[in-house]
Amino acid sequence: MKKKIRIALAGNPNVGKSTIFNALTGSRQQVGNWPGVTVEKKSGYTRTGVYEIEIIDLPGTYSLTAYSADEVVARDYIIDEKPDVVVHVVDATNFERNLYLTTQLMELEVPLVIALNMSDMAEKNGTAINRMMMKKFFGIPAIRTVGSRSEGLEELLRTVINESEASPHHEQAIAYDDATERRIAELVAVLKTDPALIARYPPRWLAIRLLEGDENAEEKIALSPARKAALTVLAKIDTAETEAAMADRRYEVISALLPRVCTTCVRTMNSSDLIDRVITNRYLGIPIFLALMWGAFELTFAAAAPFSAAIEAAMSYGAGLAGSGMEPAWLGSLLGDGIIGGMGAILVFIPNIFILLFLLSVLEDSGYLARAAFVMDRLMYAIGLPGKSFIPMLIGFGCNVPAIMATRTIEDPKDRLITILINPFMSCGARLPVYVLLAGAFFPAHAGTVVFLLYVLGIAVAIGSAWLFRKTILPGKPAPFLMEMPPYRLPTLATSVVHMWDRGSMYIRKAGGVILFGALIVWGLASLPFGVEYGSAGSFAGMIGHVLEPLAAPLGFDWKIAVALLFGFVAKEVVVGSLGVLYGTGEDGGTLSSALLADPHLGPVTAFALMAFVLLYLPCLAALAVIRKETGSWKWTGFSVIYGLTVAYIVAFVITRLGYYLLGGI
Amino acid sequence: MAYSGKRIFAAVFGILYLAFGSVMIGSVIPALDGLTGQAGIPSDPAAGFVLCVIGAVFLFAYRELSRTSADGPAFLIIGMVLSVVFAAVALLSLGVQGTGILLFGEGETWDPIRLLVPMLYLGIGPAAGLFVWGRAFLSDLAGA
Repeated sequence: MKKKIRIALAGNPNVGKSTIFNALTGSRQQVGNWPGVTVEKKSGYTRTGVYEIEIIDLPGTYSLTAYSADEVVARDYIIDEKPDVVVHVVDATNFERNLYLTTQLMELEVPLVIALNMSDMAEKNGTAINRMMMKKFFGIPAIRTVGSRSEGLEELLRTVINESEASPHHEQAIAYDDATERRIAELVAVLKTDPALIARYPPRWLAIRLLEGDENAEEKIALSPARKAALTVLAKIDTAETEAAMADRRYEVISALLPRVCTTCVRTMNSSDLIDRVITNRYLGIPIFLALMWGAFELTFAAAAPFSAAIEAAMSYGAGLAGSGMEPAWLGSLLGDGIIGGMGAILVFIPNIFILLFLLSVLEDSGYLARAAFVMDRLMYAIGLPGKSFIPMLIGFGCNVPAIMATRTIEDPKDRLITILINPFMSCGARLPVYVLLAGAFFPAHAGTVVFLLYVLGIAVAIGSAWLFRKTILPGKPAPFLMEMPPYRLPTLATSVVHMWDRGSMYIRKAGGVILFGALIVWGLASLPFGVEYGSAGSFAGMIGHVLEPLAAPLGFDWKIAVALLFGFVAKEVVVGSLGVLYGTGEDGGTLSSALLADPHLGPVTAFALMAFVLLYLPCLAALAVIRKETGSWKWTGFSVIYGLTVAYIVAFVITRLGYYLLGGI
Repeated sequence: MAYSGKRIFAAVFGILYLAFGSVMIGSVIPALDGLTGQAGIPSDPAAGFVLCVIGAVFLFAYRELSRTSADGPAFLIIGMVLSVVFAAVALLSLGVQGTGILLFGEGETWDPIRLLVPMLYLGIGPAAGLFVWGRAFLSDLAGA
């Protein structure tokens, strides 16, 4: 007589579950979405002897805490569908990390078999896992498997059949501290007053989940008559603290048992671990991050200064030469004011961009930036975003376009949309020329600090906006952040230079492309109609600027700045290019900085307000195109534009008013 | 000796960095600005904040070393690494600034005494400490 068995394959992502699934089910597998969920599970069949075995491949998860859709699907399947056996596929090369899920599966009180997958690689690395000891201490049979070569799969199926017939349970797999055990007992007693509830869910497991503040578990008791009494018990404790304490206990148990089942898996704390204790310290982590970022900007500004000065001198000389000695005069103006003035204004800042990108590459290659994301997780979570969002934000320091595309790794649509909408506030490299120009001119002694403050302002506005969106238009709770930390490495010069070049070379290409094009348009507008004085109020640029001036005047900006900001919509560097064209790098050999300093409308306050406005006002054209593509919505794209403009206007207005009041001038 | 030496070292540099950092932050108050100038401490709140961060790391090191926790040496080493990194930042930025003035300064003079900022000279002690205590720790890093 044919016997049916249903088994579920559970495990961390990338441990070879699907390989085992495919090896076991062959061509009989079917792929489909379960109703009501978006996460894919797969099911297939295999036969051995009189047994027909249905195999369910659950989504890969690191735990069963129900923070992500994957975890809920995996957990609910085991709880609701009650498979005969759960096969926990463990990566034998990363044995210790996988055991956390084992402890949680044990708490689900289901028959469990461990498949020590990739055992060949583990053995090659010298890892020796004692399967007899596994059975002795965990009470779970462990089978050596190599999914890619179908090794051990027959033994795995035999063990599954044995376990399904024996149906061993793992009640009280982990003994918690006395206080927690008392709470568990209290809750179990309460839950047992509802027979329908405990028929569906293991009471101890449900009690543990409730103590850990699991909202999904709270939903499970929502209609139960035991709910009120359970909530009374829960009101006495801090669930966040209890959750942390219970997780600590599971790790303690793992640490205690690990040496008995795998002596070679015991890892002593190395320097990398110890550094993490400092760098990710809850009090020091963010200040250290801010200090390092300040150091990067300070160094960028200082180290680039001689290079920028040399380029600026060459550009001024070239512009002066073209402007004074070339016939016809319009050609000299095109070359001097338009091409050299516009493009040269950007090329001056290439050293800054490259040095900053080099320093960020060094931080990234050392493994520090991954820690920065981890450090920011607490803050991000508090404002309603997953820590994962900080990675696209960090990428945004280079360019917002790949940063917005990087949000694809964020599963929750609302989390992702918020991350996309706030990304343009992260100060990309294209804004750096504007800061370097203005901060260098108006804050020569503290230019690095001013630029650093602008980056911090960008992060603050992004975080504030995320909080606002979460509270208003996109409510919800973020998924927690789980990432594997790369080991610290001493970065090599060659790797960091290659990374710097990969990211920085696009600015040189842009200088010869969109920025040159923008500069030529602005030059044309500043030169026409024929006969008008170049860049005067009577030129087309002047006319456009005067139309915009009433809007810009409350911020202390004159018509030239209004025109530059208008063209900065194409690309942020065009702001500098346009200023270079409109102010001129000077036929007298002067610099754009000196021309700006000579403008009576501009002073430190207005310059800072202008930098803040450029930071916040609009995503560039390329970023807008990507926002449209990634959100699939003109509505959100338009929202991004209007919201950015509004925030920029308010912030710049506040800076000017406050600055005028405190400093008594522009 | 080594352990109590490390503790004293962490406490001394924690207090020094924190004191200099606080004074530099406090220099935003006009009444204190003159005092910092006379004492040869530049008025630079952002750099002051960095010094305070380094000081805090050293004081954490002192606390952990006093508890004989395994984290103590890590805090001490990171404190010393941060000191050296920021001393290098100060040296490079001020040195390059000086070079810029000498090359493009159009008559502006530059005195090497400008290099003497707390971020730089406070880093000398930790650099020596790092040389003595930090080599084994840092060579344990992956890829090192």
